[in-house]
Amino acid sequence: MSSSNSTHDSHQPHITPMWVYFGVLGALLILTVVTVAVAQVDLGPLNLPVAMAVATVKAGLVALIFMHLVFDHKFYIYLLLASLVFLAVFVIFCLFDLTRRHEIRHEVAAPIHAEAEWYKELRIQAAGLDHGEDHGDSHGDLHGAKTNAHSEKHAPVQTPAAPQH
Amino acid sequence: MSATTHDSHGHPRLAHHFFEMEQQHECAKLGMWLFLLTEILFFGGLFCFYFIWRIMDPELFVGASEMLNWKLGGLNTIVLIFSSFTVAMAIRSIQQNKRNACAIYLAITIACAFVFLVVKYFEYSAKIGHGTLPGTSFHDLHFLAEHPEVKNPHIFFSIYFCMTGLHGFHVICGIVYIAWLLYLTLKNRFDSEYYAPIEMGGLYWHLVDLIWIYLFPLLYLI
Amino acid sequence: MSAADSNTNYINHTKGIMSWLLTVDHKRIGLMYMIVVLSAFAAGGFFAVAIRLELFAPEMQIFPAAPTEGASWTYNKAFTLHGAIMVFLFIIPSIPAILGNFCLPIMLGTKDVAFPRLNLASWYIYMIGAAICLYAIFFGNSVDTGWTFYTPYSTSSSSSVTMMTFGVFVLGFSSILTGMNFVVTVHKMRAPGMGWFEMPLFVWGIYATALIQILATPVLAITLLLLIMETTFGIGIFDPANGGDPVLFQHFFWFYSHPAVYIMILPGMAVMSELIAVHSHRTIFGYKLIAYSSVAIAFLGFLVWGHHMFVSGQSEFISLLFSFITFLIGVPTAIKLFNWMTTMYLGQISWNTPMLYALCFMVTFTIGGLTGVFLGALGMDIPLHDTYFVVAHFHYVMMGGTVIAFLGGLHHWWPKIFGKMYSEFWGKIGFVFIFLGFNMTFFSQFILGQQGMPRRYADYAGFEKTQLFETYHQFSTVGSLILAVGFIIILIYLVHSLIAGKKAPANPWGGLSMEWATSSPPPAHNFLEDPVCKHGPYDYDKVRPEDI
Ligand SMILES: [Cu+2]
Repeated sequence: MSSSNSTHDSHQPHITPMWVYFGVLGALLILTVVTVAVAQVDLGPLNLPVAMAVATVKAGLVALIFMHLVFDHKFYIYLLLASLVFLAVFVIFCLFDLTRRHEIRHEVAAPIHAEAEWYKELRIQAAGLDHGEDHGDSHGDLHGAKTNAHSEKHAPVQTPAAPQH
Repeated sequence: MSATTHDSHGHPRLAHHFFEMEQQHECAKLGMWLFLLTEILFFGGLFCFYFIWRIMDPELFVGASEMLNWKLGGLNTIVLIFSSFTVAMAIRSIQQNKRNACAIYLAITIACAFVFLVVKYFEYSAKIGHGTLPGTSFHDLHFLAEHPEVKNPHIFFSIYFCMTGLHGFHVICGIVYIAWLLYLTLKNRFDSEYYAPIEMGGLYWHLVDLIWIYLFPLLYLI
Repeated sequence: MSAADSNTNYINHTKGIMSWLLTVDHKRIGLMYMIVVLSAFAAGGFFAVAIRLELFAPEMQIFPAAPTEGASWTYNKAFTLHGAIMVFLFIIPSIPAILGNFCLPIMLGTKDVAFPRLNLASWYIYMIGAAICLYAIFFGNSVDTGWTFYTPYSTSSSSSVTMMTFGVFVLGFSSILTGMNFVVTVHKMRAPGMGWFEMPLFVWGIYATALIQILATPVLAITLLLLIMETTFGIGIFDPANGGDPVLFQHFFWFYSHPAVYIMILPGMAVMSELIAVHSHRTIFGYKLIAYSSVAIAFLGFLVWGHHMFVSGQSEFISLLFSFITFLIGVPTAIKLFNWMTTMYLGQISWNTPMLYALCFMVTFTIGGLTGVFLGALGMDIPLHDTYFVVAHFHYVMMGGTVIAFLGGLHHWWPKIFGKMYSEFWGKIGFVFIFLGFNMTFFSQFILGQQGMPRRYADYAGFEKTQLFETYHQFSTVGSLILAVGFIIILIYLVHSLIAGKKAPANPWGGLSMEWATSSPPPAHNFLEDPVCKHGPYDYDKVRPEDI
């Protein structure tokens, strides 16, 4: 008990003024509308980054004000950022591998992300299905198709190598 | 070091191994933040799942997210944001020793959580009714007929059900915990010196909100 | 703080089984962990011996020749259970949950960990997880996937993968909660006057470990959850038949499991720093470097997981990156090793049992670490992958590192934990058996692997080199039996010391950290009066052990 309490001896919890909370609530609601509005516009590949940016602003408001991060010891912000850094490392390294593996070793990695086998049968059924028709009775065949697919699960797949540890 | 003296040993809620209330409060808060860290990484695995497929196969997400009702998702977003606000107000009230106000805000929070779950229930049952299920149980033939360009749509609904399901589970846990807090508040267990459990509940509830803030656009909108 | 002759202590101040099962005392919880974790070690060891006996001769001996319908025990199940039990039930909780739980609060001069009830809860969660695993093993169909549960085999195997992974999922929460407890305790519960750099290095090591437990274990949890979802609903993330990617499972799994290797070894290094400093009676050399290198290892450990996947079809680009960062980890590890050696230089070394284990660690762990660098090299890894070279490497790290350090730490703190001295003579005999047995068992496996013996093979008849393999396998099996005898000797004299051992003084080794300032065994609340930290844990040049 020596590092944390060094700065202030008479500890008073920080009481956030009421208007700040109402302001944040308003901002969050407006930003929710913005998210929806932006998503209606087709920005192509930009849709994802834009949506993430708006969500991050909202998340930042919640974390900084509602969760008191601005008023607290800085350590908590670092803690939160650290977890996000580790998460980013995880996602980015995985993405690095998956996207590049797909290009470089197309012939080896090809089966991955191909349409699942049992799926194709389902699609054939869907193609034969009239839109207006009630498709309740087609469920029976469907289940049959699925069981077949299950037994064919061991279709040739790339065998992963065994672990090292 | 104020810690050497025992003069602050007065509060009935001070556990024996702490020196003073502030140390106890700080411990609870740090512990809760560490727990939130684990939650972030826990959900992180699912976000990784999402981003990998999103980047490798964007069409799947553009096509499949149309199946979700963004109005219901948006309603839930507003409900959760509002409940986040009320839980923050609950903490503010107990910091000022206003127990009744605190109890009312906690009750509103629980009510919002129930609204969220009810909306979620309608969404889920609609999906289940259409056969829009995760994984190999997916048999929504209408979707397949309308979206021949989308391959493996069941993966989108796997992601959808895994993410919202895990999130919903956290909402239920939150309801239980906040209900317990409400009970203790009504029994006058908290005051401006001792409110660490409410603050922890608040932090947890904000995190549940934070995750939904990301889930809503990622799943429903784009 | 010398009221050491009081007769009530944490062991006898309350009586009855419920006073143990409902205790929130970190010392008692540490002992409860000791009982169950060491039982798990015995179970894992049983499977290890079974594996070694099977490999004594080329053909199939004790397991059925092929995994037929109805044959309940197969070689695959034996090595899977050996791995899974040793990793999830023994090594991960061993040092943190037993020695960490017992020593960390006392070393920090506090009465308990920050959340005592949570601490008890994590013991129960461990027990629940272990029970689920046991159920899967004995009442289910066991597991035969290897401890890594690789897809697509694990999604299609007929063994009880789902239940076993669920057990491991539960065990993960025990690990997370223990880690959280330790981090908060280190941050907020240090005795007055104890700054970050007055903490014993054991605490630093456990702290770094706890950080990894918090950041990595949730990813294991979600991985196993997704694996369970994949087996039950076919969600299409890991199984290629549903459009998933099996190599992604390896990414998910190793994102936890490489850091988990550091969850296993960092506490070993933490114990080492104590053993070396206390038994050399000398100020530790490079205190801050050792402390920072623990944190550096914890951080870098998150960036190297792909070195398990060099031959999995992972992209070459990312393999290159992972290989490079793997080399980097050698730096903080070597810093520690050189600092320990420098500490011994000009020290007054007492050659007692804990110190012997410390020396053993420095030899065996170095071999394990350096062969790890070989395997981290892209070119070297291709021929050595999935051979006994890898098996030997990780046993030199996990057993030659963690288990040896655990034994050293157990001997070091035994007088503190139970207030009894064990027989130094038998301690040394036991050490000789362990040291010889260990090196016989696993050094031969380096040669086996280098000669091309693949791992996970039960039957190695019909190879060009079968004759050669058999010789080394027999050498290894004999070594493993010597090792087993060594463990039995240790068990006997330690238990004997509880009954007939001499009463331990408060500070048998002349240590300066706070646990040696209280009586052996400590009183219920660790110290009779709240301690104040007046000197560093290794200030042998300033303080005499008699004066603490
Ligand atoms: Cu590794």
